Amino acid sequence: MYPVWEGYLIHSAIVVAIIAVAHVLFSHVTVAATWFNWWVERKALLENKPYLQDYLKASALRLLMLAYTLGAMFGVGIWFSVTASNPRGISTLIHNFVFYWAAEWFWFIIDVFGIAVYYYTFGRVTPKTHARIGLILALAASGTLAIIVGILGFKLTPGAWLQTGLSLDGFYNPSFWPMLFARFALMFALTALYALLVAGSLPKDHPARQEVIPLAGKVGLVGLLLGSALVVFWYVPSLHEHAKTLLRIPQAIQPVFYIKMAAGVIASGLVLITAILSPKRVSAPLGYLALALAFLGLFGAERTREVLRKPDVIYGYMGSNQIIFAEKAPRGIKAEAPRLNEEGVLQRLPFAVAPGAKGAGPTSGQDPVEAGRVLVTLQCSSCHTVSKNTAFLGGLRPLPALLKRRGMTDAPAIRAYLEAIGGFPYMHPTVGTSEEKEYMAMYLERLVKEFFPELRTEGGAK
Amino acid sequence: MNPEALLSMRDPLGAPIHPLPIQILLVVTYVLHIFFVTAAIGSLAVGLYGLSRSEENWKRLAQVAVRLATQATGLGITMGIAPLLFVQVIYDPAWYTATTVMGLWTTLFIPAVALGYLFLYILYLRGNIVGVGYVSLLLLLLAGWIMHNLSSFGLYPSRWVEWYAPGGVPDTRGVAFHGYNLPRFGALLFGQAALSLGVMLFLFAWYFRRREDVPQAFLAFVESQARGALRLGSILFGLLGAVWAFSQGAELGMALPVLIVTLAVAATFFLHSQKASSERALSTLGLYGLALLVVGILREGMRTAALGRMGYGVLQYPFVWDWGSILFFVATALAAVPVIVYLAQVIYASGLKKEGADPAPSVERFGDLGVRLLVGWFIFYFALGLYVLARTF
Repeated sequence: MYPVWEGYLIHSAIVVAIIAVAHVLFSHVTVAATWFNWWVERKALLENKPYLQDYLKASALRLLMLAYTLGAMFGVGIWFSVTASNPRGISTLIHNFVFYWAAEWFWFIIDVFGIAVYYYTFGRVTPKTHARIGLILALAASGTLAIIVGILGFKLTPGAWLQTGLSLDGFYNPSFWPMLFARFALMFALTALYALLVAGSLPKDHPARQEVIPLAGKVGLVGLLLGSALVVFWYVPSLHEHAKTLLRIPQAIQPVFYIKMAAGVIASGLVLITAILSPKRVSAPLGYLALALAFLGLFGAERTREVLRKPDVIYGYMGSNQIIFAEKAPRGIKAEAPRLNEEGVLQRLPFAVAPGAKGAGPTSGQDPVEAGRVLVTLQCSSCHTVSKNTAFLGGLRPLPALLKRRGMTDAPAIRAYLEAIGGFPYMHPTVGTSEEKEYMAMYLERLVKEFFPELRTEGGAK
Repeated sequence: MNPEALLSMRDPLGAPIHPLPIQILLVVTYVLHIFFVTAAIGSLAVGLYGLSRSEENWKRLAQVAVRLATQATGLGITMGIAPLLFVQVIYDPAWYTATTVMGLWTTLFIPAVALGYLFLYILYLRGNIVGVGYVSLLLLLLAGWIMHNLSSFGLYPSRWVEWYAPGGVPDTRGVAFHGYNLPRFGALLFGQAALSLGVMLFLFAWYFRRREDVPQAFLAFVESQARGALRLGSILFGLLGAVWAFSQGAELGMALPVLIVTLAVAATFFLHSQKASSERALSTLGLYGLALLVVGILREGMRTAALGRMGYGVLQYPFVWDWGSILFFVATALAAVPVIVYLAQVIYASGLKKEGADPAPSVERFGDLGVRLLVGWFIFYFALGLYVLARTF
């Protein structure tokens, strides 16, 4: 087990979410834009419409500056943020899929190098060569999607990997096929919004503007409808029962998530219909607004997908608290929880606390509340705000507010609650010896009263 | 941190292949990464300097350098993905401890790079907003500083617990830097940035030597600046390298290897700068690649030795042969590498004339092959998926 990074002001999980959605937005725009632009370039060639080049150049410059490099950078950003917030979770992925990611790296090189070649060779090589570069970009960008879908799906539906431990079984997992096709379709909706933004920035009477806007509207609408249908009728049914249960529990998936998703889909649909029926009404600001609303929808969708595997980071293998719970883990790995319950967390984990130091707990005859803080941080901080360090704007599912709301404000009540949480479908049982759970309760009592001073009573914890 | 605890932190899944190939891939991809990163820093610095000068040659060089910096930044980040992957496979205890203890900076690394890159692009497109260029440089240097800390942290396992929990009380905010060594940072970033800049400028002069629209006097100016950059780089690298040897090198019992490598690299490029020319730019590039490889091996040697002292034998890292993943990687490499070569050939050919030029017909045929290889990869990808699906049912 590694040290815990709670976050600073902003909870680590929120940092991950923000960076992840930015990446999804950029990268999804990129993948489909390459196909869309390749289509437009062929159209320019075959139908002899050189004015479409103006659209392609404007699109390529933005892709070069924003989508490709920032898309790739934020992809690495997810990696860094996940590493800091849940190192053992990413370690599981890395040790399973390092060569899949290394394979994706080749596609990244083609993407980042290729878009520069594409942009700088406009008019400098024959149209046929240029169109071929466009096709290469489209294929390589799709390659990145093709690979990451396997790794993303694995976290929620590891499937046969849980028995075999073979990376191929984890990669081509039960939600792999529906997610692959649904994402591929939906990204055309995002790309269409991006195309509206680019075409909308051309002069009003530019023929490329008049031609690209309705074309983008049609492509995007087909992508949106098809993608949404694939999510509802194929992806969701492909999930295991546990995920389907969580979809119905408001404590796990808050209704606001569904509202965000619906708002994103409806707003995108309306803008795309406008592009088809009344292209003159479409402008760059509308494109920006539509992309912002799509971002909101994506945020809801990605967060929902992340929550569906609760309480695990790798469903059926490792909890969000980075402890391996699987009783029949692959490759002969043993579940860690039983040993930690028996021997104690503080004794087993190198970074729980420095032995013999002030915070080492009663084993060294000192501060049990500080020992409790360490244990709560280890086990709860990946999903909850557990101190004032990450309480900015209320934090993330803040434990003090949650305990207060449920009337658990003193150590005995909190202790009983800690024993009960294993019964929730989105929580694992607390890990540690009975004594350690006492420390956790003591710390949580202090935490509640730190956040809500009015609960302090004479003789109570300060 | 005791040896048993250090070993227990390794991922229980083990590596998917013997650790030696991972170690080799780590060093080789690091070389590619650091070349572009340092080229970006060096180019941006000289670009900003050039923008402050009134001479025509400097103005022109500034434009070239800023454009080089933008492309090198994008490629530097892309190339950095691979060593980032491989370090986590066999050095997971060191890497993950560093990234969590300095969590805030770990997560700020990419925003710093992304913002720096955006500002750099603004400078490139507008050309005259020098202020954003300086902000960009500062952000990229901050990113370099963060990465230096993350890397150097792993060399001191005996201090990890105290860094995380000073006085026994964990600090879970991740706001402090640990493990840094300024001479190492200076040698590997600033020293190498000047050397990379020199190499890039020689390559630029070599590439444009036959373009009639590029004045020979400008190319001669570029060549002289390239020599100066190599000279400056070798002096910086040598001096800072010596201090690095007697600070971190001595702490880790590796003063002599650090001293020998840094002085050898410095001396080689100092001497080479006297006779280097744009005609022989490719030889200079080859020599520099070799030097970076030696420095990369030195860095790994330090890591191996530091962790080895705690009983962490990297070549004893547990592993299984995961043939599926190896097949996936090799198949992708076979499809992608020719395509990358093709793209390089296109950009090379298109710049040979002012108005652009097509690559040779043989290159075009190679491009067609590249497209077929990519389509073939998708067939492989789907076929493999269907095979796994059929086996599961």
